Amino acid sequence: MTDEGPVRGMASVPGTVRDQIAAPGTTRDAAGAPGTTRDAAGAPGTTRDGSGAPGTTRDGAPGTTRDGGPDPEPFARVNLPPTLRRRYEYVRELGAGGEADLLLVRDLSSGEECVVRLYRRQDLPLDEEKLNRLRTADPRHLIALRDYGRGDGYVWEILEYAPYGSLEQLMGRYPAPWPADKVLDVFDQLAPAITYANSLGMVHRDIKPGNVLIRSMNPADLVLADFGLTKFIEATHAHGTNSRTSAYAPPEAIAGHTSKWSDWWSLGIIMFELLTGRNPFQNPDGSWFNEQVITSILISREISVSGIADDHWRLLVRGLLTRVPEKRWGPEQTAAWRAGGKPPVADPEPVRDPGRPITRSNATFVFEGVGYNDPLALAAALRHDWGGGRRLLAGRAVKAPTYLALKDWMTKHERAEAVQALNDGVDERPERGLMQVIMALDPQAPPEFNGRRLDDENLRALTRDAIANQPAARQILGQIYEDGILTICDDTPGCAGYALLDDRWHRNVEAAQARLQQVGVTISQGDLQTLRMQLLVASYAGQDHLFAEPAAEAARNPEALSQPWFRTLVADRPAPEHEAPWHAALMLTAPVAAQQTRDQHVAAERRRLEEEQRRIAQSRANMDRISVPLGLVCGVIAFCAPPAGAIAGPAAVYFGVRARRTRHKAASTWAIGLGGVGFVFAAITIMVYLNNLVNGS
Amino acid sequence: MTHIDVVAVTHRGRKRDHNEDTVSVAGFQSGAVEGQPVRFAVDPIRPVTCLVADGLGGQAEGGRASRLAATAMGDFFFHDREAVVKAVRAANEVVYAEMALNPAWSGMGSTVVVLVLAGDRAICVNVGDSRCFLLRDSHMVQLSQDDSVTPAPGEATVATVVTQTLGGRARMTGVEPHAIEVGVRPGDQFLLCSDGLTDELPPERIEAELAGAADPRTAVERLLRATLDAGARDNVSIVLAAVPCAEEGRDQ
Repeated sequence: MTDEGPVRGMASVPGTVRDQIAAPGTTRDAAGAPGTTRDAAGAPGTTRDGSGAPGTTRDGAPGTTRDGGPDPEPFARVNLPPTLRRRYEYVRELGAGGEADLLLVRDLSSGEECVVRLYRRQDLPLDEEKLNRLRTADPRHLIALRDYGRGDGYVWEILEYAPYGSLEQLMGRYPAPWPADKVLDVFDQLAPAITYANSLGMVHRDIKPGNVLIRSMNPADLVLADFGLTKFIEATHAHGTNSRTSAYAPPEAIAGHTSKWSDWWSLGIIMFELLTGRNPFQNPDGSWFNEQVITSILISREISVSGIADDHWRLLVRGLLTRVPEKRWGPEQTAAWRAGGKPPVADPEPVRDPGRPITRSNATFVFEGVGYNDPLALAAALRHDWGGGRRLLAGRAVKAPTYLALKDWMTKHERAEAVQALNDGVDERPERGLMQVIMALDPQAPPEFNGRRLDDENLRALTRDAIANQPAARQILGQIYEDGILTICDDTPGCAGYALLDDRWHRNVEAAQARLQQVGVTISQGDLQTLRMQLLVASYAGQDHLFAEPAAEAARNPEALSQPWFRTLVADRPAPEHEAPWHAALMLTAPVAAQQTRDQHVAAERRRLEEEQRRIAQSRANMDRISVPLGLVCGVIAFCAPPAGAIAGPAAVYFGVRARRTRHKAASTWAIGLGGVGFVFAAITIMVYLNNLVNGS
Repeated sequence: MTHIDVVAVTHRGRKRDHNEDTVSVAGFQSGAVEGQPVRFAVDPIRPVTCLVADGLGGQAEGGRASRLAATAMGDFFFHDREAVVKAVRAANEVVYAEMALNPAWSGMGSTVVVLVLAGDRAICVNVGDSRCFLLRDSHMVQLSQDDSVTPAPGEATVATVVTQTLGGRARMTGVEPHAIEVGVRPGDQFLLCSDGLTDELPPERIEAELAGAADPRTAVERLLRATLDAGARDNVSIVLAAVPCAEEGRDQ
């Protein structure tokens, strides 16, 4: 029970960590604006992780804090309600959150320091029976609930004040791995505490280092915090979680089930963390896996305990981290283990070390001229030589020898999932099959398609490349769509929620294509690729209105709007949650509609010109027709009345020439002839006349 | 009735003095030293037999062995897989029988890969490391099975070692031909080749040339050109049989 080092360390630097992290008004609390669900769940200092737990109890030693405990006239943002003011003296504020304020107070009668948690609402349902049980609970295991009540607009509880802070802070100061005897101290405190709480019919549901408070260091005395009113708050709010909460939650909690077995899982994770120095959901650099990755790992994987060197400790952690709640170790098994026994571990699944899969066969498969008998090596080779892998899987359709050899090899190596992937494959989609085979051979590797990693970050990068018009990226994205690759990657590391995303993506694209078909627009392969890319982006959660602006722009295109079908499309607005395909369809068809309008304008103009020319030609033809009789008449006049021929002659020739354009060629010839002769006669007549005139005079 | 378009070529390459490969299409056989691609239009009313035989290089009389093998089964009409396998076994015996005639011919041998297009079925039988590929939907799938030594894990196959051939030993030894039968679809292309092609060009390249060419003749010309450009250290033989597309015949 002694822990010399930490005790001294703690006493020498009291409260520094906590106060740094959780001084009121710093980041976390600032984020917890009143009414946000997150802070509701995490009323300061209680349920939230240690960093957000200003001082319920784990406040540093008074007097060294930033907010200046000894100040005789501290600025108090929150005042004690009158009921409490009669019994307690205000010392200082410990923090505030969305739902509650935390105050450090001194009991006027005993002089003891306590924590008051004031919930700024009166409508909290109080389970009197449970709270009374808690109030009378054995203080050795749980942080003491001294009193609770309601009045003056508040619900409040008075809690014990633990001056040494939380286990999390201690781990921050003395980074794990800890020596076995120190870990054992923690186990000896926590296991009985959980056993005790369970015996009262209470499940904590949220045990983590931040909720384990240190009442005394020497001897070690750890207690569980936050069994109190915060539970009601959680129960009345759909609360968001974060990684640091999920990292300690059992697999069944994902589905919302908790039972008395849940807390034992959390204990297992704490033990794991203390023994190995790292939470199973923490990266080597100390950052946490994101929420969705944790969930997917919890759903689908064993937590590998191979990092725990000692056999006895490893047995404990395996027992506690049993996935099936009913088979998980509980009070009896842990007690037996503590006594040196080896209770059986129920989990039938072998604990698989990702680095070294079990290889039971020496069978060698030859891929592109190289022999393989290690599934991981083959998976790597398939990822590297994607074309070779594709041809290999394309052999499925004809049962090609290499394909059959691969299947036989995987059967010999007991790769049931990989064989299943082959059986479930589709002949037309060899790359989909290849992807499934690679993932079955090497489930730990991040999914990769044709040389492109598909985890969230890389998929977004690929989409960006595709939008930037890189042909390779566009083509790969097209294949990913057609082969339904994202669904295959679902819930592998970095690919959480891909099945849902893929489903939305396909439905959006299909909806958009249906709309295009409705309006009778056929699009090019390039446009189809663009459509898919755009809708992938819009299929991410919360992005469905990403293209609302450009779509609205497109819908305002006046040229496009003169097409009735486009007006119909614009008017046919779907429900807001299904707008993404509509946006895409608008953006894609607006240029088509505008082009149609332009084409129609050009066609109309061309028709108008043709009409005019036809009219001119028509009138000329009419003229030509009239020219036939006119030419003949003029010709006859010119021939018969010589002096008139001077005028009628040329007129007859003119009309005659025009009349040649009609089919009355003979009449035209006659008119020209008569006109010509008449003109000659007229000329002669005039010359004779002039001659006579001159001679006569 | 549409015809099956077969283009065949065999060439000694750039390093060898002789051509020990033999190609045969519907009984027409060639072991030309520097052959040109020749195009056949074969009526598929009867089964069409194409083959490539690669005489064992560096061995005595490799060319003789490959021609013998080709002659022994080049002009038969095979209707089922067993018949082809039987013919390959018989060709093996023919090679050994020939060997007995002249001590200098002892140990001559040849690989063989036979493709029979019989109606809507294709039968591929092979001994040795000459290959048959099916190109369908732009994917190239190997139908033949190489008779080479399985390499140790992590090591590469030794390309020059063949575990069985027609002939090839001093004493008569039987062969176990690999046989596969697949359904034929309109547009399928079958490529038969000696290792002179596959050792020089990676499968990705061969696939791209086949999928990218406008017609079989262009494809074969390009493959031959690429092989020669790559060095052509061995004799190279290519036979490409293209089943007509549906739209070329009657619309379906």
